[in-house]
Amino acid sequence: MIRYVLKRIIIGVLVVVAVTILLFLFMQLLPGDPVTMIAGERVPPAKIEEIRRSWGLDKPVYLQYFYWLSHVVVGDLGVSYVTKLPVSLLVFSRIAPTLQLTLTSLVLSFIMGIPIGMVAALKRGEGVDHALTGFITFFYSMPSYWLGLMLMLIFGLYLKILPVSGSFSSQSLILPVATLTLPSVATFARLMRTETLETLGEDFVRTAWAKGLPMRRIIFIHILRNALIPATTMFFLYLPWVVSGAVIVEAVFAYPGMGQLFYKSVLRQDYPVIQSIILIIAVLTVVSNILADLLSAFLDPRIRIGGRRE
Amino acid sequence: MKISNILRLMFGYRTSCIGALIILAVSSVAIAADVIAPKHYSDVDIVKKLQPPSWKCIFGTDHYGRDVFSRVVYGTRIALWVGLLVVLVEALVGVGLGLIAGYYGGGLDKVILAITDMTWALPPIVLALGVITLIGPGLTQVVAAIALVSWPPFTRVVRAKMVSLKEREFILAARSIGESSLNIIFRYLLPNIVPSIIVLMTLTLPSAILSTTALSFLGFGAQPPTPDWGAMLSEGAAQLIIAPWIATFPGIFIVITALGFNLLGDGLRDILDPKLKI
Repeated sequence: MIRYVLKRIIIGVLVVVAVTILLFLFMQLLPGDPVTMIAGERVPPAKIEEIRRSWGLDKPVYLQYFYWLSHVVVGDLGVSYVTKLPVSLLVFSRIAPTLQLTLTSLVLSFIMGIPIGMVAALKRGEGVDHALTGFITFFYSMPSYWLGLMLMLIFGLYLKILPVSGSFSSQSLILPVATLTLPSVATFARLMRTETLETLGEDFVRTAWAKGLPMRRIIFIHILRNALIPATTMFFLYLPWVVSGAVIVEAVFAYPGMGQLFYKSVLRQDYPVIQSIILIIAVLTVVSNILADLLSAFLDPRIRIGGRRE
Repeated sequence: MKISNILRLMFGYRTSCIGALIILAVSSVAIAADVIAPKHYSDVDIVKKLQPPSWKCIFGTDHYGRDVFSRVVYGTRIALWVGLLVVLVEALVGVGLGLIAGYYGGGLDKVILAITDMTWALPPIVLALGVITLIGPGLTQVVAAIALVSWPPFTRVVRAKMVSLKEREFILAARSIGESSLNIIFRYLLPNIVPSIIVLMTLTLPSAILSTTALSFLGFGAQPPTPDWGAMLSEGAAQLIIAPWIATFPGIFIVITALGFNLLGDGLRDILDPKLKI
C-alpha cells in the first residue's frame, strides 16, 4: 500500500512539472513583451533593458523557466498586466469563495445523486425509473448558464425571494449553488444507476438473494457498498470539473470567485493571471486525482492487489 | 449488423426512438430554416424593438427589433453544424491516438495514455479558454479549442477495444497470413470498433453543443449578428429584466437539441454496445 501511495504521489509531481513546462511555453508563445506590458510603453529602452536583466529575461529560456519556477514555488506568481498588482494577491483571496461554492454543490450533488440513481436502478423499467431517468437526462442536457438565468428570473425577479447576484450573504449563495448542483446531481445519479445495475448482476448479489437475506440488508450491505466505490472516486475526480463549471456560473451571477477572475482575465488578456489560475487548477486536479485513486484503493481491495479498476 | 436492422431496433426502442424523432425535427428546422423563419436573422426593425411574444411574433423581438423566432430557427443550423464539426475532429484525433496506442502497445501506449488521462482530468472550459487565449476568439477557434480538450473518451474506448480485440483468433489469423499492420488495423480491427465510435459520437454531441454555446455565451465564440444560441443568450442576459424572452427561447432549443442527442445516444448504446462507459 505504501508503495502504491508513493508511486501515485511521484506520478502526480511529474504531471505538475509537465504542466508548469507547458504553461511556461504558453507564456512564451503569447504576443507582447512582459516587461513592456508591466512597465508601460513610455519607459525608456535603457530602463526596460535593466528591468529585463534584473528579472533574468536575458538568460536562455530553460534558465528563465527555473527562475520562474523558483518564484512560483514560494507563491510569487508575477504581476498582473492590467491591475499591476501581484497575481498572488488577486488570486488567493478568490480561492475560498470558489471552494465554498463548488464544495457545497459537490456535497449536495453527491447526497442527492446517490439515492436517485440507486432507486432508478432498483426499480428498473418501472414508472419511477422512467421519471427519474427523465429528470436525469433533462438536467444533463441543460446548459448551466441558461439554468442560472432562468433561476434568476423565477426566484430573483418574479418571486423576489432570493438575491440575484454578488456574494454578500449566505442567501446569495443559493442560486449559484443550485445552478451548479442540478446538472451534477444528474451526473452522479447517472453513474450510480449504471453501477447499481452492474452490481445487481454480480454473483454475490444472486447468492445473497438465494440465501434469503432480507432485502434491506442486500441493498445496503451488498449493493450500496460496492456501487458507492465509483461514486466516491467520482466525487474527487469531479471537483476540478465543478471548478470549471464555476467559471460560467460565477460569470452569470457576478460571484466574486476565481472563476469570475479567470473569465475577466481572459477578456482583458491578463496573461499572468490566466497562467496562475490554470496552474492552481492543474495542481488541484492532480491532488484530487491522487485522493480519488487512494480512496478507491482503500475502499476496494481488488485495486490494491490487481491493476486499476476500469 | 445491417443498417436496416439498427434502424428497426432504434425506432423500436423507446429512448432512442424519442431521441431520433427530436433530432429529425431539429434537423428539419435547420434544413428548412429559410422557409420556416418569417424574417432573415439579421433583419433590423428598430421601431418594433423589445416586443413581448405575441401571435404575430411568437418569440418576441430583441433590442434591435430582430425577430427572436427567426434567429432561433437559423441558430439551429449553427448549433448542429458546430456540434457535428467538434465531434468529428474529436473522433479523428481520439480514434487515431487510440488505434496507435492499442495496436502498438508498449512505451508509446503509456505515453499516449498519460496524455489522455491528463487532458481528461483537467477541466474542459478552463483549458478551452486557455487555448482561446492563444489562438483568439471566433467560432472556428471555439470548435478547435473544444475539440482539442475533449477527445480523450474516444482514445480510451478505442484503445480498450483494441487491446481485447487484437488477441482474438481472426486477428492472429490475419497476422499469420502476413497481412500488413495498416491492413489489420483498417480492415479487421476498425470495423469492429465502429459501433462504439458511433455511440460515443452521439453521446458527446450534446456536450459539444453545450460547451461551444457556453464559450459563445461568454463572448469568445460567434460574433454578432451571427444567430448563435449561446451569443443570443448572452445578449438576452443583458436584457433579462425587461425582455426575458430573448434569453429564454434559445435556451429551450439548446435543451431540446441536447436532450434529443442524449436520448438517442443512450438508446444506441443499449442497442449497440451496452457495456460502453464514458
